[in-house]
Amino acid sequence: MSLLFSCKNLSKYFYETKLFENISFDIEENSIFQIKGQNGTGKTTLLKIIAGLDTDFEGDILYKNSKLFNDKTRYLKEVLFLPATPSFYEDLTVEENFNFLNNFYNFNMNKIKNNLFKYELIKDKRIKNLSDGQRKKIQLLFAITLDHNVFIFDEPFNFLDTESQNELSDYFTNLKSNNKTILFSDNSKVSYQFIISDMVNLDDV
Amino acid sequence: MFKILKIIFFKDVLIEIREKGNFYYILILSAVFSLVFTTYLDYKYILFSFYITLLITSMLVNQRISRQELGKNDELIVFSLPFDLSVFCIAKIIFNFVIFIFQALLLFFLYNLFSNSYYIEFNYNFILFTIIYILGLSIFFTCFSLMLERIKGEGQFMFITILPLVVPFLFLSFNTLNQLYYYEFSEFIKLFNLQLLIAFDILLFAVCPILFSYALRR
Repeated sequence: MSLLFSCKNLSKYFYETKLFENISFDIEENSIFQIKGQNGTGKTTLLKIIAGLDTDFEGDILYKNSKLFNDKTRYLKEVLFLPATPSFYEDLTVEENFNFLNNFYNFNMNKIKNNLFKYELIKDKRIKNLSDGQRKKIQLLFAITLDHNVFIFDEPFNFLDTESQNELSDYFTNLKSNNKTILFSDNSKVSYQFIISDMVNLDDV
Repeated sequence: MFKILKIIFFKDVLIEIREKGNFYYILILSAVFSLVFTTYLDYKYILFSFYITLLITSMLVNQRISRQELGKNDELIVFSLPFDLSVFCIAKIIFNFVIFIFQALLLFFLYNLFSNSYYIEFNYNFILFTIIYILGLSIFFTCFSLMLERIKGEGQFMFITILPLVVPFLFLSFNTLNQLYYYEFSEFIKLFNLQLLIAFDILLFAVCPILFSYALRR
């Protein structure tokens, strides 16, 4: 396996308050990498920094041995970040949201096989009428249709029922077998059905 | 670029047709403000109050439109999409421009309906000035409300933060407004204030989307 991300001495401050300081770690290609830590330790912030969505930090991140922010648009085509709280247009239906996003990514709707996450039942519903769990499933379905190199999930198991958590675990295993890299943060007590390649614990830094 | 502009614009149109929230908001605000101003102000100030009403209502409507772009986590929904955010900003400016044109027409009708002794004349000078005025408003309201909605979750203070841009715009539009009905159209378009206002609009249109994209992504 080759090195995908190399994070050196990452520090993040909110004004005077330290969130984390001098964290260094590497992420291998085709691995499942977990970021652990209690609430408020900076898991989401760290994921956003790696996803290129937060540029206000100290330290260096190398992606495939080059600086992270050389070509932002190209980087965002390779690295997908899925926030803990799914964000869609509330007044559009699930299908309309997908059609809108389809203009920016190369979707493959055939990947949603066997009515995964009961897609057929909710595709004509407006986002504002969906529960948190259903929104989360829509977000994950969105990820499934994509073919990015790196998938960054923030608290992906939140709001999901046991059945869907198992489906998500299978999906992670499937992604890894397709040579994708997964980064995720999680605080739930879910027993994963996949093997975590490496992790960083923000409680220890 | 034009494809993305079209997609974002028609997405906004679809939401507006479906929800009609902004449409009702415009109706209510326009009716209330025009009634209040035409009742309390002398007829000499009706034309000025028309543009002040347009400014206030468009600012409030613009904030609503900007808020629709935020997800549940107070981030722009399109923030992580792989495209240049200045294109998104331009699409929103165009959409707001269309909404404000509708708003201006509605206000024109309401002002002429409520004012007893003074009618706002609908001539080429009025049309040209209103379009330029609305274009300027839609540019800086869109850019800065989108930026500040994201930062604060609320954009009420945007007017203060963009004061350096607003003040020259207001001065120029006020000076042009004073001369609105004094000249023929052929003379009106040669006015220094109007030409400066057009130049200021072009400058805003060129700078604000780039500034918006840079401020958010960097």
